[in-house]
Amino acid sequence: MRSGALSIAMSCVAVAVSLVGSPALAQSSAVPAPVGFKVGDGRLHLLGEIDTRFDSLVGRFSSATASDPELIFVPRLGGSFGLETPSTLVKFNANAEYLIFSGLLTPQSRQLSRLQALVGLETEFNRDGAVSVQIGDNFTRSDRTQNAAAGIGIISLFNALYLAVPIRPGGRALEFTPRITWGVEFFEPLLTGLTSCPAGDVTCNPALLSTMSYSNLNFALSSRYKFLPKTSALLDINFDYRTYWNATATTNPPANILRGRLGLAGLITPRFSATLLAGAAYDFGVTRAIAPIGQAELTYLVGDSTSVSIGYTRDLLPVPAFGAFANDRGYLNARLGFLQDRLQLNGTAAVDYFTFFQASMMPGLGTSARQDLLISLNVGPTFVVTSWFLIGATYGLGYRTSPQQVAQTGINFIRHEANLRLTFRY
Amino acid sequence: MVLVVTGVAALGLAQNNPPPPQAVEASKVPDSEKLRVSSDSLSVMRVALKDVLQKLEEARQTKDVVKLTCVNEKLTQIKGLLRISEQSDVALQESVARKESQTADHEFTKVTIARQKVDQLRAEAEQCMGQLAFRADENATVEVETPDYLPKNDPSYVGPIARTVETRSPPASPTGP
Repeated sequence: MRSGALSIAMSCVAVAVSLVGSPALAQSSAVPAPVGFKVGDGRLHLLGEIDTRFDSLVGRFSSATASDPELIFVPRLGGSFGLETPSTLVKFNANAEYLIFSGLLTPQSRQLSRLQALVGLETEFNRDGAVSVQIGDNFTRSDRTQNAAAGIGIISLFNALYLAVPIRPGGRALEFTPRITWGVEFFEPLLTGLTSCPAGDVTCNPALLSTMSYSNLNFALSSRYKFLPKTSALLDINFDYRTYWNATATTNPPANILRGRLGLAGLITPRFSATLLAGAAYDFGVTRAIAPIGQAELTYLVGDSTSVSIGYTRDLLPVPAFGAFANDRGYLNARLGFLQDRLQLNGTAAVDYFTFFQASMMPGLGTSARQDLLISLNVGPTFVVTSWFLIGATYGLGYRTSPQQVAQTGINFIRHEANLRLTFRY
Repeated sequence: MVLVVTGVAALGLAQNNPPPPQAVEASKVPDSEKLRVSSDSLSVMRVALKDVLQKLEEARQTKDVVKLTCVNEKLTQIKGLLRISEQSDVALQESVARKESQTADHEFTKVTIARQKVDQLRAEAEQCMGQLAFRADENATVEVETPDYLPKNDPSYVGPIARTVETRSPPASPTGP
């Protein structure tokens, strides 16, 4: 019995070793890149993807506290265009996906089937000049939101448009970048049902979600002095001007947050890089919150395709319903490449602690500020089979709890997700 | 009467060259001496031309338009003076052979003056390069060589600080209260 198990194990090892040493893999010195169509000086790439996903918490259909699972099929189509010359950069990508909730495990979940999309544009002109111009836009329609207060599943329609003018006098070691970003986000409910939500609470009542829709103007001036080839001193100052489309100050207090950070970033040895930034932020809006902010990150660079980062950041951000909140985030990112980077293992683990500075003026939330703890984990391999075919898998864990609102199921949950992706690209 | 007035030679320029002719009346210089001085002056002017051409090339390599224009201006004048001097040298030899002393004196004077002018222009070309070297040069570039063992990406770049946080809550029950 033991010898049989041993021989199976030996066979597996032999297969693995032969896979690593197979001529087909050994002949390639790098990951094969997609070819694409030549358009001018750039390349147009097409993408097709089939994503099969298990989600342990697609809704609470059987009872207000139940976690109903489902299998989801996601066909995804997209394309990208890239052009990079010494003077010009253009990157464009667009993806659209349709989430098909199978109803195999929870029949009621079929009504969650929906279209999601992502469009991104990044351009830079006169890159090699003393003054260049950057213009870009990001658009998403998904159930992922930048509204940290949201206590129920929502559809977020988000768009951010930016204009930046990097100025690099002299030998380009010094760089000043004024930048303006205009972001808007509109909300609509995934479902119209109401569970465990205090009456009148805009963060979890589907009928009131749209009142959190906002416009956010960000004015920034960042400066960078590169005193070594891969190491810089940084000074960033920016200002958020947040307003809400359909809300009064009692439902969504406006926020005007000024931030400043100063520090160093870059290589400290050939294998280690670090980011150390410290500063402060102040909300001139209703909360009058003042908070130290910063970032500390250490990265171990094993190679170009393998790195491990550990870090901590703290920031003060505007948020609907409360005005402003502080986010303390500890994180660990890892990217490991094997078989000449054909096999990639990516992992991210993060712990976020949200401190909502203002006790909401809405009824039902009491006088104490809300504090949420979020733990997230994403880990999985991707294998590049050929230049046009990839196989990937991911496991994701999401955990969120809010001690001040324990009865609210939208911000107290645990969620497991697993997916298998087949990616075709050209 | 034609007087030849010597110019001021640039420092160190004429150290290896024959000394410039002194301020003397051309009529008092013997014909054989005129021929020798004229020939020497032509040699000196050709060396000066070669020297300024080299400076022009240096100015071109620095991609400094101000230096290049300055040196080029001096070079153009030297070329003109050398051409006139070569014609005068031939005319001098002919007039000496014909015993036409007045013509010989005139051509000798032209060569001598041309040499003084060329010496002066050579010094000015030197100043074009030397003095401007102390000015701030907007076209100067500094090339930083990155060691091969450093990673290719740039970890010193940190994106805009307005970081966003993405969250995702589960939808509520459509059959709930």
